[in-house]
Formats: sequence, C-alpha cells, structure tokens
Amino acid sequence: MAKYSKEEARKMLKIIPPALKELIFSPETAETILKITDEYNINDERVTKLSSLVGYCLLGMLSPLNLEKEIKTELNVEENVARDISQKIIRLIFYEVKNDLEELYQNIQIYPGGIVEIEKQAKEKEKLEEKEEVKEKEETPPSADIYREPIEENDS
Amino acid sequence: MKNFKKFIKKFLVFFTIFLIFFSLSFKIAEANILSDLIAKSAEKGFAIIIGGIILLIYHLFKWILVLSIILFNWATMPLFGLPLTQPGTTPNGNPVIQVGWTLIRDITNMGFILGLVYIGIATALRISNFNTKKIFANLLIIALLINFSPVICGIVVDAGQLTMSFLLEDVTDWSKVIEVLDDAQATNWAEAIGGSANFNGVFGLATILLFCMLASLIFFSYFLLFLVRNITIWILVIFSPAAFFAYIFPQTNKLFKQWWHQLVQWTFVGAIAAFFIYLSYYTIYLATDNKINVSAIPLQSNMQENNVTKSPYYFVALVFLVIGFIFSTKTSAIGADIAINLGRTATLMVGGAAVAFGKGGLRKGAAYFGRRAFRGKEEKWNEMGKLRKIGAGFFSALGLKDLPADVSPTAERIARIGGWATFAFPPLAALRYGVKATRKYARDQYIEEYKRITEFESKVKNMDPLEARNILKTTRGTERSKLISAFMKRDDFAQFVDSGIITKEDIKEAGRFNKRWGFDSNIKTTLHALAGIGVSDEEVGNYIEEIREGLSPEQQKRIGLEATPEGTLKKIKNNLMKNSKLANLMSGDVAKKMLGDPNNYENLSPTVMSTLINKYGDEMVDTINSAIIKMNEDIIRNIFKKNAKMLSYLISTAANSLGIQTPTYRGEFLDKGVLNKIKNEINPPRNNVNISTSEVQSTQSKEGQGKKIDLSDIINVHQKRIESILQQLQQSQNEEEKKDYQKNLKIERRVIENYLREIDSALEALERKTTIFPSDQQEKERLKTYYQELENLLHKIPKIDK
Repeated sequence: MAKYSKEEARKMLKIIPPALKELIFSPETAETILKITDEYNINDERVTKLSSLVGYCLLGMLSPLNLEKEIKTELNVEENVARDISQKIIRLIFYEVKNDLEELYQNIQIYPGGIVEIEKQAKEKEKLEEKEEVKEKEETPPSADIYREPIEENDS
Repeated sequence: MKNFKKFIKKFLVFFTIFLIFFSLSFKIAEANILSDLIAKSAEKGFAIIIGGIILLIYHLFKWILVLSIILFNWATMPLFGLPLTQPGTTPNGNPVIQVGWTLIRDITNMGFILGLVYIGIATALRISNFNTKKIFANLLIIALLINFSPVICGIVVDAGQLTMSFLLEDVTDWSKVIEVLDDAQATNWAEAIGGSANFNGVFGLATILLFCMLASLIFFSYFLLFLVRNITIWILVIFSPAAFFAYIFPQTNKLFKQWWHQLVQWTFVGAIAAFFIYLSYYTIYLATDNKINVSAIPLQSNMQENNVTKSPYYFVALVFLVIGFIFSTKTSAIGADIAINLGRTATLMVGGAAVAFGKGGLRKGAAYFGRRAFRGKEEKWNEMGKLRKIGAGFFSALGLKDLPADVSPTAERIARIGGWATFAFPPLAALRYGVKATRKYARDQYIEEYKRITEFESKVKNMDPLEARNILKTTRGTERSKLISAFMKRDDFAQFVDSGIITKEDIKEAGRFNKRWGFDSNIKTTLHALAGIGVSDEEVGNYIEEIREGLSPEQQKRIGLEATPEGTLKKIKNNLMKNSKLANLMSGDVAKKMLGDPNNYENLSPTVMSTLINKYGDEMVDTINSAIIKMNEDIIRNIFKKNAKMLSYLISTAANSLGIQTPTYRGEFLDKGVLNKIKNEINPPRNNVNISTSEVQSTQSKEGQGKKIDLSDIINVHQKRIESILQQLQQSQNEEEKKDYQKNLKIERRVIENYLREIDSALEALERKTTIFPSDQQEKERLKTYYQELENLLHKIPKIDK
C-alpha cells in the first residue's frame, strides 16, 4: 500500500470526473465492500485495505486490470478468492461508472460480468468474433428455393 | 384641470380685492364721508358723472350676468344636443366621437397584432416577470371589449349624468336672479348720489354691483366647468380603445388607470356641482318669493325693505355656488378616487378580507384565505381559538369559515340564523359575496405564487453559477424572496452565502414571505439554512420565535416548531446532520465545525458526511481525522449504540484511499471483529435461547416420542450469563450501563419463565396420556429436574422495579 501516496490521491481527487468522486464517498460503495468481505469471512483490517484499493481504482491510480493482483497481495487471499472479489467489485461498483473509468484509464474495457480487458485485446477479440459469425453465415446452407415455374392453364 | 383651477384662483383673488374695495366704500358711505366729499369738493355735475359711470358698470355687469346664465344653462345641457358617449350620426349619435373613436379603434386594432408579436417574443425569450397566459387572455378579452368601449364609458358617465339631470331638472329658470337687479331702483340711487349725500343710494348701488359681479363670475365659471367637462368626456370616450388596449400589458396598465381616473373624475364634477347649484337656486327662489322671514334682518330706521335688504339671502345663495364650485373642482379627485376604489371593492369586496384581517390589508388577507382555500378544512376548527363556540357560527354565516363537524349546538344555531340573515339583509349578503369572491381571488393568488416559486425552482435548479449570480444581483423585493427560496434547493446554495451574494437577511426575508403565503416546506428550509450558514443560536432562536408567532399549532407542528426555540434549534441541527439535502445548506465553516466534533458522529449520517466531503474536498478529510483521533472508548460505544452505520462506513469507505484514519478501540484498529466485540459488550447474544425454546416445543408436539433434548446445556448457558450480568451490574458505575444490564436481566427472566411454562405444559400432556410407557416416566422425571433447576435460576435474578 505504501506505493500509493495520500498526497497524490488528493491531487487526483480534483481531476477525476464528478461521478467517480461521488462513488468514492458514497455510503453504498462502503456497504457493497462490507457485503463482499462478509461473503469471504474477511472481518479484520483487510476490509479497510480493500476499500482503499477500490478508492485508488476510482482515483485513477490503480487500473482495474491490476485490482485482482493487488487484492491477492494486500489481502493475502488465494488467487481464486482475489479473482472473485475483484470481479464482484467491478460488477457491483465500477460498472456503474464504466465509461468514466474507461476514459480515465484509456486502454481498458469493462464488461458486465466484472471482467476487464485491455482495449486492443478486446477489439481483436471482437474482430475475431465478427469473422467467426461471417464464416458461420457463409457455411449455413441457403434457404429453401421458393422459386416456382408458373403453371400453365389448359383452356380445354 | 389644473390650469383651469389656476385661472379660477386668479379670478377669485381679483374679486376679493374688488369686494374689499366696495366694502370700504360702503363703510365710507355709511359715515356720509363720500357724500360730504362730493358736496364739498366737487361740482354737482361731476357727481352726476360718477353716478352715471357706476350705473354704466352696473348695466355692463348685469349684461355679463345674463350672458353667463345663458351660457351656463347651455353648458349644463349635452353639448350641441349631442350624446356624451355614443358615437354615430345625429340625432342619436355623436359624429365627433364617431370620427375620433373609429380612428383610434382602428389604430388600436393594429396594436393587437403588435401585442401578439410582443407576447410571442417575450415567451420565446422567457422574459422574466412576464405572465404570458394572463396577458394573452387579457388581450383576447380586450380585443372584444374595445368595440363596446363607448357603451362601457356610457354606463359610467350616465351614472353621473343621471344624478346631474335629476338635480338640474327644475333649475332652468334663473329669472329670479335677474329680478334681484331692479333697474329703476339702481337709476334712482345713481341719481341720488349725484343729488345729495345719500346712504341708501351708495349702499344699494354697491350691493347690487357686488352681487352682479359675483354672480356673473360664478355663473361664467360654472359655464366653463361644464363646457370643459363635456369636451373632456368626449375626448376620453374617443381614446377609450387605446386606454383599454393599455390595460393588457403590465407596462402600460398605468395609462389605463389614469384614463379611468379622469373619466370617473369628470363624471363626478358634474354631479357635485349640480347639487350646490340646486341648493343655491332654491335659496334665491325662497328669498325672492318672500318665503323666508326677511324681517329677521335688522333695518335701520331710514331703510326701506327692498331687494337690497334681502341681499344677505342672495349672498348666501352665491356662497353656495362658490363653495359648490370649489368643492366640485377640488374634491372631484377625491371623489374619483373613492369611486374607483368603490368600483374595485365592489367586485372584490376587499371589505371581507379587510374587516377580518385588517392588519396587513388585502395581501395578508389574501395570503390567509389562500392558505385556507388551498388546504381545505383540516385545521379550521382548531384555529378558531376563543371564538370557537360563538364565532364559528358568525364566521361560517359570512363564509369566512366552513362550519366544522364537531361544532357546538349554539354555534350551529347562530350559523343557521346568520346564514338566513346574510340572505335577508343586503349588506351582509354583499359581505358574504365579497368574502367568497376574495377567497376565490386569494386562492388564485396563492396558486399563482406557488406556481411562480415552482417556476423559479425549475429555472434555477441547473442554472450556470455565473448566470445565477447575475440574477441574484438584479432581483429585488418579493421576487428575490421567491428566488432565494428556489436557490435553497440548489446543491451549491452555501457557496452563494459564502461569497456574500445571499445574506442572512435575504434568507430571513424569504422565510417571512413563505410564512405570509403558508409555504411550510420552504419555511422549514429557511430555518435550516440560517442554522446551516452559521447564524448564532440566539439569532436563530429569535427568528424561530418570530416565525412561530401567529401560526396555528398544526402549522407549527408541520414546520417542526412545536418545541421551544432551543428544542427546535437542536432538532434543526440534528436534521442538518441526517438529511443530505438539508446538509447542502451548510457553509464550509459550519460543516468543518460539525465534522470536527467526535460527539456529532452519534447523529451524523454517512450520506451527509459523504455529501460534505464531496462538496468541500480533501480538507474535510483532515477535519474528520481530527475528530477520529479524539474518539475515545465511550464515544465509540455511544456511536455504536446510536449510529453503528457510521462506524461501518468509516471502516469500509473508499475514501480511506484519501487518508481517512481508522478509529481505535482499546488499542485495536476498528474492524468488523472489533465491532462485533463492542456489540457483544453492549448486547450479549441470546441466540441459544430461541433455539432451545423451539426444541422444547418440538418435544411437546410429539408428546415425548420425538427427539429427546438435553436442556442442561441451555440451563448452564443461562446460568453463566445471569452470573456475568449480575457481576457487571455490581461493578458498573455508569447509570446508563446499569439500566442496560437490568434490561438484560429482565429478558433472562422472561426467557426462563417461558421455559417453565413450556415444561409445565409438556408435563401436563404426559399426565393426560392414557397409556404411560416407562420412557414417559423417565421423561417426566427429566422435565421435573429441569423445572427445578430453572426455578432455582429464576430465584437468582433479583426483582427489578419498573
């Protein structure tokens, strides 16, 4: 935690968009953090540590991409727990200010499920998905032939 | 009118001097000085010349008098026999008015187009103080009415004209006035002056001459007055379309009022003058026909009774005319004012409001009625105060109050009688109508004011701060009060106060305005704003007293003024700590003071705290830290008891990243574990008890055949708990803590009593069983043992008084 200075945090507070600022002080954010820590039986000072990490993310000092890693180190939890906590925070807290955060960190993209990816990767993935969709379309057999020759009527 | 009065004044001054001169000559003549002088110092022929000149003057003035009377008679009739207000062609209409009025009407019709354009632009540009709906409605009505403006003028003018015609109907023959002037007698007197010293001659001539001059002056003045009146009314009728048009816009409304004032004024001039002319005419008539006791006037021995000796009566008649003239010209303005006011009150019957709520006039009355009319009946009865029993009936009869449901029979009776009386007795009926009209007007006014404030609120809500500052700088009066009320809803209200654009006096004035109109919610906000900007407790207390005065108990309760000023202030401060919307009213200094005091955290809501840090930035973080450092065990325990959410917030807020410190409790940093510890200290857990109770119940339902429970553990838990509580109770010095322990003991007692009841009923169930198995017997024994143990435990709990 020592790598994040309070002075820098206060400077950043003056720059960040109002929605992010509001979220930092919001009692709802605090409540969500409490609920998440309850789920993983985290009852000690690690709650405060987690809330600080959330704060740093919102202040633009800790990319949500690295949140999981930081949780693991700072809270001393297992990797899967750190991933779960991180995803829950992103889903329940950060997703609300998705656009502001994406703009703040510039190279990330936040998904509803709580997954954060680097923008380039995300775009490449999108392109790949698009290509696959096109291929699928090409592969599907053409729809049934509806053309019918007109039936000539006999006068007789 | 003013120039005319000046002219008359000058004329009167001239004649007064003339009068003094003649009075002197009269005195001189009485002493036979003049005749002596003439006899001694002048030739006889010279005296004849003087007599002749005086006679000439007499005839000249007599001729002027006759002419004045003819002109006066002519002027009292409609000018040239033309109607005063009706445009049209002769004989039924007035062609002059027809030409002028048509022209002005056509120009005014063009004005309507411009008016519509103006309304359109004003609406599009949202020009302030512009009530489009009202003005547009006025425009439509006036566009229709200007075609009937001569008719409307006719109604007003006819009111004056009818009075005048009634009074002057018989006052057409002024020959009696001429009769006063006896030519033969005048010639005799003139000759007598020439012949010898003659008192009668000098006195008679002087009197006749004076009467002649005064009468001619007065009749000529009246002629001018009536002539000007007729012409002025023509002009006013001609300009009536323009005047009506001026009524539409607030900026030109004044012109309409001026026109209306003139119309009523000139109408009244005629009526007042006619009254005095009527009086004067009959005085002269009575004197000439010897219907007045002339002998009452003391005559000198050498005097004969003639018209001259009757002259005092004639002069009385002239004085009537002079007074009438002065009165009609000078007081017509007052008369017009009264008439205009009467006209206004006739529609609104201001009396209703003024009588009941005289203080503060229509505005206050309107506000009062407005509030009542808007809110309905909810609090009317309680507000009656001392008038509760009898007054209710009276006020109800007049329509001032609706008769409440729980009215006394006396009041009901009075109301019924009063109700009939108001229909039977016209003035009361008028008052009743007036009250109703005023209430309707007031209700409309209330809604109008309410709408205005709402408009301001939506306008100001998201306004750019710079624009907001400009508006605040330029708005004054009640509009400012409305604006301030709207500004109090803005998140940055306190910043306008900090920069001095909004002062505490502004806020107080806004409160007064809202009190006048009964906008309770705004009054409440005003009080919070005053406390929020850091006005001293004493000053806020005084203001609370001021606002409280005259409010009904219900209204006081709605606003939150039911306690003492100190209590109200405490409540206001509490609200500021709990309600984030109200917290926006707090200035930076007050917010700092609040967050810097650790004791406030018992009441401070996390939302308010987040609002204040968000608003005032990182300096508040330092303030919060200074308070956290001061938090000792007691404070933390108190915060936990009253506001546990605050401690949870401090632990888990993302603002910790900015350096908010974590409070310590008994050397440990506060975390969820420590919070649980505090919780257990304050309220020991009792979960086991409930589980056990349900187990007992399950045993009972299965009639001893189900799962056999072991109550001994439960009894042990309770025993330990009771012992611990008793020990703590003995050791504790704090009264509040003691109360808590006693409360816990009571709970323990209740739980054990519950066990005993349940075991009892379980035993009864076993007793009722027809077939008893050996296991049942064992169960019975077991339950009895438990019962005994629990009873022993119960005896350990001391009885605590309520």
